[in-house]
Amino acid sequence: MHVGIEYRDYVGARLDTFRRAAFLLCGDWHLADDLVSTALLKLLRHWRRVSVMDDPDAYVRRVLLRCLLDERRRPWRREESWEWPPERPNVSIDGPVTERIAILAALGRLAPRQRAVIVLRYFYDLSVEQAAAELDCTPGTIKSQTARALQAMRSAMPDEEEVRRG
Amino acid sequence: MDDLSTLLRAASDNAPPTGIDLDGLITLDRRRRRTRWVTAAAAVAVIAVLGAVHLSPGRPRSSPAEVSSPSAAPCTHATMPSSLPDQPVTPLPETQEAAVARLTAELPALLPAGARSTRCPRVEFYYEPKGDDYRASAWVGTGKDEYSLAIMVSPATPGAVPHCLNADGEACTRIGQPGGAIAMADLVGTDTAKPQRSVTVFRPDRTTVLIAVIGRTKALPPATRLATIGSAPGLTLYP
Repeated sequence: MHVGIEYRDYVGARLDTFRRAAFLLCGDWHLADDLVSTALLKLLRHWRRVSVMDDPDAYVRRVLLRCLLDERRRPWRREESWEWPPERPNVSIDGPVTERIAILAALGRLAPRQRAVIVLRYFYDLSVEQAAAELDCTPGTIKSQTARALQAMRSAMPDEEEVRRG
Repeated sequence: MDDLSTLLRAASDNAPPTGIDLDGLITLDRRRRRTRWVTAAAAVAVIAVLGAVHLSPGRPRSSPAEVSSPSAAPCTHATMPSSLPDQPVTPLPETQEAAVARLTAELPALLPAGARSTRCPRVEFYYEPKGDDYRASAWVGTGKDEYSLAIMVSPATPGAVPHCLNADGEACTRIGQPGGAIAMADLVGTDTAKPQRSVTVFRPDRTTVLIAVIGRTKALPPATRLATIGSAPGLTLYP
């Protein structure tokens, strides 16, 4: 099969997953699409090499994570100033939507690398060792980052629910 | 928190329609590689000039007649690095060999007088599979007025808007051509010793012809001349 067609087939089958992972990493669908576009362009440039890897998905995940961390380091991301505090989402519906808001708010309170650990472990279902390989750190770091992230999310989620319930 | 995986999947299951355009990404990459090829061609040209000057100072370079001697090495063409992906092959009405022969036969009447190849007995097209296009390069002129010329003939990208190779805005000039072709011309690197003039002709026959020349500004042919070459009926991929 022609490699151009292979590339399209590969991306077509995974685009939804890439976008969802990027959204969970950054919390914004527009930025998520930007991140995925950048990752897909890099994938296209290196497709011949990446396509023969055991796990091409791992390459895309790494590029996504790198793009996210680079994006967060950009000057316009370092400081956010508001004339008034940003409004919290006005949610009047209970159930799945409430949970969605709560989990995204809890994710948003994590540091970028903790967020990446949570997405790799619980969205992609990677093992500690696999996550460590993708983030280029030790399994021990993954374990400690996971524990801290989960603790932070646990403490954040009830607050969010209280806020919504008024 | 008991089932974080389920919560994460539920939190991301309301994706809006994507703005990611795969075809756009591939087109963007293709443009990048074309620009890179033209730049690489320029680099090769400069190296060739420097090499000739270094090896035989004061001695004129090989004339076309010398290059076409029976002992000349087989004609080879550098292709793109293998790490770059192939593009989908566009169905054409003739084989690649036939297209190469037909396009090459058109060149003598189109190229400026004295155009020559340093690798081949004649200036000829070759097929570049990774870009799915046909390319030719040549040297024109002598001494300080020598410049390199590159031609790329490719199938038009569906829905492509006429654009310049390198420049936008005022630096990009649109030249209407007889028959409905549109030529987009730019000149970059004017702060260097050898600027590059590029003309991309978007033809109504679904063929795009890119012509780039690199050399001293005074030596370069005008954009209108390059546009005329790019609009020549013979340089079509759909005869």
